[in-house]
Amino acid sequence: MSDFDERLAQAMRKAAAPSPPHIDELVSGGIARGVRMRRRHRWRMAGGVAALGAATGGAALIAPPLLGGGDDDTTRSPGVMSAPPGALLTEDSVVATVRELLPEGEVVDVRSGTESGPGVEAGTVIWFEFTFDDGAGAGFLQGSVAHRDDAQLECPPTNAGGSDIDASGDVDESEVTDDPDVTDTPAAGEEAGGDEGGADTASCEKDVLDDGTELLVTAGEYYPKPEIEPDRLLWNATASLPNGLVVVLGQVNAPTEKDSEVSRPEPPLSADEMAAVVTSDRWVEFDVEIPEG
Amino acid sequence: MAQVEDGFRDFAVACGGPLFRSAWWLTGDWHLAEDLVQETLGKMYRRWRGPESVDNPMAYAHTVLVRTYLAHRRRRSSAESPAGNMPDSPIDDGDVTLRMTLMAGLNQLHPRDRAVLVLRYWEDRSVDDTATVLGISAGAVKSRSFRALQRLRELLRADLGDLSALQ
Repeated sequence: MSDFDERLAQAMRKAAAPSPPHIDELVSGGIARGVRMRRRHRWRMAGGVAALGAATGGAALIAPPLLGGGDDDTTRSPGVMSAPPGALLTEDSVVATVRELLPEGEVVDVRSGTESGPGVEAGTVIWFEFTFDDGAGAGFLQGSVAHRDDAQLECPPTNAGGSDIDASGDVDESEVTDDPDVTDTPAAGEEAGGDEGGADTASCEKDVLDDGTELLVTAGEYYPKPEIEPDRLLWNATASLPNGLVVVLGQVNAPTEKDSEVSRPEPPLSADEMAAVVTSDRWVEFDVEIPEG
Repeated sequence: MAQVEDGFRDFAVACGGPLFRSAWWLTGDWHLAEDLVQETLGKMYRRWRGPESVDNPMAYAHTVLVRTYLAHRRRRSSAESPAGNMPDSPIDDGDVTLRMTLMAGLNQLHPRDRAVLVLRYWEDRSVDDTATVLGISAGAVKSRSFRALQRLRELLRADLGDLSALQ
């Protein structure tokens, strides 16, 4: 065998694999797919609440975006003025309001953007993400604000994790199976098992407040597969407000969604603090029409 | 946003050719290779925060490529690859007969065995690197590699002649 492997390597070199003739088309096609992947991912987070409630597991209920398309903003001070009552919902006003509602801490690496999404009135979702450090370790926060009159918040049928399924029914297994940061490790010499899995620590609570606001709070592991980074947590709070706004806030107990070490045992905000952010009266003060992005 | 896309495009153009060639050895099919590369670039684009966000973006992309290939093969629940497909675009370099011979043998291997051979003998990766890409142990890479080489040698000898005769 010792020679054969050398001969194989030489033969592959000699045979020479072909080069793609239209590299620009190949790249453009790849970017187009990436744009669609981003959109689906954000849509799961912001607009697909109702469908997700029935379709997916707790920990993966509302997946945060991996990659933002907005502008970086690391220069804003923590004490940004929030928007006045009746102000338009914009990226800036949403970010400012979230920051106003957070406990004391440092906010860095702010990113935000707008995305269109099916079923969202005015066709727009405003999303945001940043790193928040209350002094006990940095956490990744992300969320969105969308206007939907038909939002129905539902806990998943079980609290176990499952495949990451987006609102359109597409299975995005890439986060679990193809991600180089995730070691999808079968036993030595054996094939990997199925992609199903489940974090049985996930929880979901639904509540209806006095003003009619629906509130859904979930807590669980970031990855549906329990053997993958079980200490990496993803907590979410989603509120469907009487004025038609759906406000989502998610947190991870690490400074970034992925590619970072867990920095604290739990995300920075408690469940009550998350709920307070998404159900705040501040959201009712906005004009619910979200300008087209 | 435009800067992000421009930066990614530069990266993708630079790594598109090598990715495609690896994809071609993995799939044995021109169109599947294009599809695999586009899926890989899509996943990279989705995560892209600039070349500095990953230690070695090119190696990272190759890892995504191989894992996407294996995930696709696993979902298809089939170890059969398109047999003997040749690209519909001209290849004007290399030894065509040798290429067809090798591809015929590789097409009959299990996808994970095939991936091991492509990583080890086309991409010239070490056992440890290969293990990292595939998410398996170094020992598993060695045993798979041994088994795959043995199988390939039998296939080439039985059906297409000894590989050494093609050198």
